[in-house]
Amino acid sequence: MKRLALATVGFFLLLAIFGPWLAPYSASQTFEGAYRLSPLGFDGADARFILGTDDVGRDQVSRLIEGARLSLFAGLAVTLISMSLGVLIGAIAGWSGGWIESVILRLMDTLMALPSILLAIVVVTILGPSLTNAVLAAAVTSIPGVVRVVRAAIAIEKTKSYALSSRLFGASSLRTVALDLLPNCMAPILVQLTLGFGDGVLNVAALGFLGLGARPPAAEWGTMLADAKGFIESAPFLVVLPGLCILVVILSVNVLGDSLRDRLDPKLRKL
Amino acid sequence: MMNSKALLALAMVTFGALSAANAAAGTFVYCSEGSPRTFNPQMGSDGPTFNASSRTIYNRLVDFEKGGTKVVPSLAESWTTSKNKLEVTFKLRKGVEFQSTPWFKPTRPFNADDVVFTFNRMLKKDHPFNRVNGGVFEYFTSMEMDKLVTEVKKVDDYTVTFVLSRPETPFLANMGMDFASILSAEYGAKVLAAKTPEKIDLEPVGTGPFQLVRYEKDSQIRYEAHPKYFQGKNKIDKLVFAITVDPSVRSQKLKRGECQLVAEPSVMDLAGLKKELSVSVMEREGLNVGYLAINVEKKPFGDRRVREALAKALNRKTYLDAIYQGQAMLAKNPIPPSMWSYNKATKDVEQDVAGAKKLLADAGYPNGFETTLWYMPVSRPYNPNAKKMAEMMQADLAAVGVKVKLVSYEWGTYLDKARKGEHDLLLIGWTGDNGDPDNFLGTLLSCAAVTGGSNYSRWCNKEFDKLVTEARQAPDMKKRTELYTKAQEVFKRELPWVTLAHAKAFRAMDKRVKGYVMSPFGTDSFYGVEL
Amino acid sequence: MVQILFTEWSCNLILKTASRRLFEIGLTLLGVSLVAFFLIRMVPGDPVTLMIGERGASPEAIAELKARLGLDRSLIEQYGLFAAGAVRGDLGVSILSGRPVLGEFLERFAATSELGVLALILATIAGVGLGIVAALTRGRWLDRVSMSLAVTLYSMPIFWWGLMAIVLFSVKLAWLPVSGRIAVEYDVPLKSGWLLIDCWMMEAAWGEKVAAFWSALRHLTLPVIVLATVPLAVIARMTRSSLLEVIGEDYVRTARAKGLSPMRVIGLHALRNALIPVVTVVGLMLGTILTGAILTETIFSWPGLGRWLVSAVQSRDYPVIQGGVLLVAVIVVTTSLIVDLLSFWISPRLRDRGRS
Repeated sequence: MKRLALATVGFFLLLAIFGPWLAPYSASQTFEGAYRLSPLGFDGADARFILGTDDVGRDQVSRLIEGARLSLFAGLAVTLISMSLGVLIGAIAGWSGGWIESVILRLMDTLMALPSILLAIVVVTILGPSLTNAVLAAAVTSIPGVVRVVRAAIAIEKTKSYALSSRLFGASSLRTVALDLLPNCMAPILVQLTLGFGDGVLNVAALGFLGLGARPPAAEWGTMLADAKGFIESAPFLVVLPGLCILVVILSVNVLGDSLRDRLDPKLRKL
Repeated sequence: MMNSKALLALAMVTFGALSAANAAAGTFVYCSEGSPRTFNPQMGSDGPTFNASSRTIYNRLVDFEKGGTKVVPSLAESWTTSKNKLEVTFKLRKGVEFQSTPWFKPTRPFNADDVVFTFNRMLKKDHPFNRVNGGVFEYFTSMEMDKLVTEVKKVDDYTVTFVLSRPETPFLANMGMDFASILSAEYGAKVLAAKTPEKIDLEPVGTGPFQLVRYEKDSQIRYEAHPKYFQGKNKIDKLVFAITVDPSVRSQKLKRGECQLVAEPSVMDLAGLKKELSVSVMEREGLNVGYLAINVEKKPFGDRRVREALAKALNRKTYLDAIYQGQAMLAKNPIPPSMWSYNKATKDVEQDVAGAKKLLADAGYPNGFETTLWYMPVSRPYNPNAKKMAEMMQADLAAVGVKVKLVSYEWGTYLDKARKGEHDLLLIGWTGDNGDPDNFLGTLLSCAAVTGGSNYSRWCNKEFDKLVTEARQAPDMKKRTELYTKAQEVFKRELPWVTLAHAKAFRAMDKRVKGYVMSPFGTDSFYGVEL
Repeated sequence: MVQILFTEWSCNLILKTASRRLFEIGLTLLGVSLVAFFLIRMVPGDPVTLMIGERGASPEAIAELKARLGLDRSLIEQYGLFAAGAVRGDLGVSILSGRPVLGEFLERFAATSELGVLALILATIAGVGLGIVAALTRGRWLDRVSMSLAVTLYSMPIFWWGLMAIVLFSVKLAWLPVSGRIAVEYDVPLKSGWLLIDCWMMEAAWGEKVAAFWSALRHLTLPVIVLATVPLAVIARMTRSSLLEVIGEDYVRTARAKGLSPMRVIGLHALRNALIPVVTVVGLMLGTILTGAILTETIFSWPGLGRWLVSAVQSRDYPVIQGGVLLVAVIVVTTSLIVDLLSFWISPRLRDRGRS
């Protein structure tokens, strides 16, 4: 299971990185007359297009590969943005304690009390629908979770003797947090990172599905789903394939995240 | 265990049969495209609101003939205009009954008080109902009816006079528009006395063919026939609006017999629907126009030759298939061909790249120029995919040396900036309100509309403006037709727009439905419809 | 019994904790009201411009419309009016419909809660069941299958899953209806707002009541299953790990040593304690359910809160957004408070810890 997941993630990463060289055609190239062809093995297939074509005659394989690029990089960007901001804010809150911590926690409570997708929708409406803005919106909504995890971890670590001694020897707060505490909180942060990646891909796709993410003709998976919704009866594979890609990628990432957690959290490993 | 499963299956079969039997018993289900905003058409501006209120519950002083744009009598039997054209007097129909509902039992038929009440609510700031339920009379205010009508006078119980601030013939067509629906003054007095004035718009009472039974937002609206309707009781007893936002779901419901008429089926589903034996698809040209507005205040578009060059550069025919999937016709005039006074004689501009280049050279731009083209971020009936169209135009214009940068904003911002004239070239369009040519030519191209913001070309031509103003004030139909025909000639000579397309509208329905006629305004009326 | 449980001391402690929590909740709600109010006003395009569309209007007419909506006042003043109204329970009227925001909210909330509560019940029953099965068969194939299933469901993009379910069960097999809450032929007046309850209260023959109930149930089936997907997976995983943790503890071992059957051990001792974190998770799932509801309602044309708020964002209906979001936040924080109190009350250990 774990190996399979690793292989799948690796496969999609390869597609994402080397997509332009691997894809048979350009994702935006249209073939006149080749509209809504079925994948090979079904009625109405064409040997040129292994997974068929979409409503304006674009090759599905090429579009799904381009989608891997967009969706995975979007997920990665969401994770990086939310992790860096989340770790920073969480560390500040956990280390300083007192009123700063209270203010930050209340702020995070506020963000968490809003349904995340609604918050994302509002943010995208402010910035205008595009892939970049969908990434920003998804990142904003996942910051509170990171902040809470990091703050809790730092708050525990800071009472431990090594942190106290580091302070006693005159190390600055920044130094203590960055060099001594954070490395010791790496386990929960790493787990959060993997799971956050899956959530990032999912949220960007959800926004794309609602028409608030990447703009057509961009081949982001969620946007492709939204585009193909109208053909759900006449050409169901146009809806099946992008969704399946999303599911497989997120599933593999989550399996990896789980095994990472089991490995890093000794209490769970015992079970 | 097996037993209960069998029972369940039996139950399923029985209830399936039960529901099928129910559907046959005089209930008409309409798959509508959205929730009405309110049941008071005075405060609405969208199709779903009008379908659910003005087209079902209410009537107006005048109406449009079924399926057309000609003004015909309704609650008013006849009307006269005074010599100075500033007073329009309506003779009201006698014996028109309001609906009797659980929330209101009328004691008197419709009369002049109701007309005065209805219009004063919108006109007079101190009217007790002026501010009720938000009090935003969007259509009335933005059409500046509050400036046009100075007073609504009751002459006797069945005669009402409207005093106007300036002569305006389209006023009559305005009285047939949805926002001019007549409310009940007696009901108003009742809810005011009960200190619940807000009920006037939530539990509506009108004179129309259907009365409201119940409304569940985003879910359904149920009506029953108004038994004392002045044109005779409707053949359908029960009318249900099943609110279904997704167009493909509407089509699926029609196929499964869950509704009998579908509003705005998706163009993508049309082929599939046409194949169904039990379904028929209707189409008609819409009362709309999609166009490219050329801002004449910006350089170099003040020069007529440049505008003509743009029109000649564009291969508009290719847009019809790519953007409208073939479901539109090429536009040459600013008004659609179904409208009276449409000028058949004007000559359309054909694509002519060499001619366009020559015109640009004559105007002093042999190497072309750079400009911006704005495209709408949303899909509208008159232009379902402005971005794609803009890309095609960009390619066409590049061929004559005009380098175009594509620009777009969020819809609200787009409208706001366009209203202020910040654009160079602008993709936009219009859907008619009342079938009067003034609603296109006056609203979109008059000098007054430059300040109002709806003249997106910001084109103020004295000759054109004089013709349109004169036509607006002339009471005689023949004279008006002549003036509007001439105005279109001026338009075609000056080319402030590149006219693009008139999009078609569609309805899909059960083959058993009889008596349904598509309205040019895109609204749906169910009076006279039967199964 | 209650007296024994809540000694004066723990009562004091609860009061103190509760008052601190209430203060925090107040702050959170203040924050939500500020965020909702200012965020939606940062969205470009004001409601009046969107209302009049292509028509345009003279500057005076636009000013008049804005004044009627109170949009001509300063932002601070507008916020003050909103906050003052909210404290009194008056959230203003919708710009589009002219109806009170609170009334519209309650209508929508009924539809969403019918969907959400059923989904939560389904997720809890199926999730706890799956978790117990997995924990009892730890390490064996049934455990692996259950947990693979759980992680798959957890990873499911529910907007896609919903579409697939509609194609399969409604369109291809025609077992279930495509969308809506109930077949139109049943004229069920809304009283509680839950159709499953209201159909018994309508005036009709018994046969018709049963038929209406059946129709409502059939309409609920797919959306409930889709909405329950992710929470089910989370609950299953939580139940399994929490049960395994408890089984390893001394008192369970003792019970086992006493010769009690594994079923009794699980049922009587382990499950009760294992369920504490599960209760917390179920409470926290509320946010997931609300987010999921927005997508589910879009797919199934369900007339609930999600679609109401999304369309309000699109039309810049300021009062609906600021009021609706505030009310949603009230529900979220209240639930988490209740969950906290509940887990405090369930768990004797937590109470003891509080005392010492």
